[in-house]
Amino acid sequence: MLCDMGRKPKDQEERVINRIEELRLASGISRQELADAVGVHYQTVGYIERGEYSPSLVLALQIAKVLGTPVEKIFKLEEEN
Amino acid sequence: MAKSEIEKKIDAGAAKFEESAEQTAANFQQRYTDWIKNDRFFDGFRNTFGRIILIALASLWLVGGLLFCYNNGSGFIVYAIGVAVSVLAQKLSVRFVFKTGGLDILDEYQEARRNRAYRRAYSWVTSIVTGMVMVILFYAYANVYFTDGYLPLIPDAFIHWNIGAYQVAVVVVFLMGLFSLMPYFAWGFKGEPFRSKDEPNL
Repeated sequence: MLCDMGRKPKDQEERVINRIEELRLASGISRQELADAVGVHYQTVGYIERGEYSPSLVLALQIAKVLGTPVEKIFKLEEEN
Repeated sequence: MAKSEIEKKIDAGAAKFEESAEQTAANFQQRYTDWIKNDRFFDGFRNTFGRIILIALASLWLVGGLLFCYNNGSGFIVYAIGVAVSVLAQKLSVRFVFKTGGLDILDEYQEARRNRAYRRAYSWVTSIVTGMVMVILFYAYANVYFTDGYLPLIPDAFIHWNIGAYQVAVVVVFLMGLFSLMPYFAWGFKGEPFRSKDEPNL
């Protein structure tokens, strides 16, 4: 339907949750190491882990590669939970 | 014609100097980039609490200083320095995201947040300037009405508004501060996560 098209307002957007922190800790990788490996700031990794920022597809794939886990196992929409 | 020994030495020296200068510049740029990305000395400016304090102080200084200097005709230098310091503190607080000097120092999060801040700042500045113009126009009409007892189509009350060079300078500093600080205000309060100096980075 036409009214469902386009970008939703910020408060209605589905929230993306992720398992980065859990997988990172399991791999023994620090935030700084992960940030360096994917070319972002330390703080950005923190924002992503806390769900305050949804990374681009490229960055999500890079993170998945570093963590050795398929991207769909790391990120999912909150409503899927 | 073949170059003399001296010319060859000069050429070699110049080339060596050029290479050395380029290397020094590259090293300096790399150090500067590393400092911007990883500095922790100013972390107090970068967390949410620090940003709230900085924004509150900058706003108070900008508006309070304008009112004080405009009405009292003194304190201009201190006001101007304070505005410059406020802008510098804001730059440090957001790791210079608005002035990268052509350096590739922003990641995608910073770029996205910076772009959003620019859009918000543009909107806010438009509203503020429109509001200021409306206030000045109201003042102009009211001035004519209460002085001459009628409302003209186009008020010429600005002519009666005696504003000295000192006041103009104060207003100019205020406007420069307003336009400079607006993107930093629009960046938002949310700062970098608290991070202790002893944090093991996990």
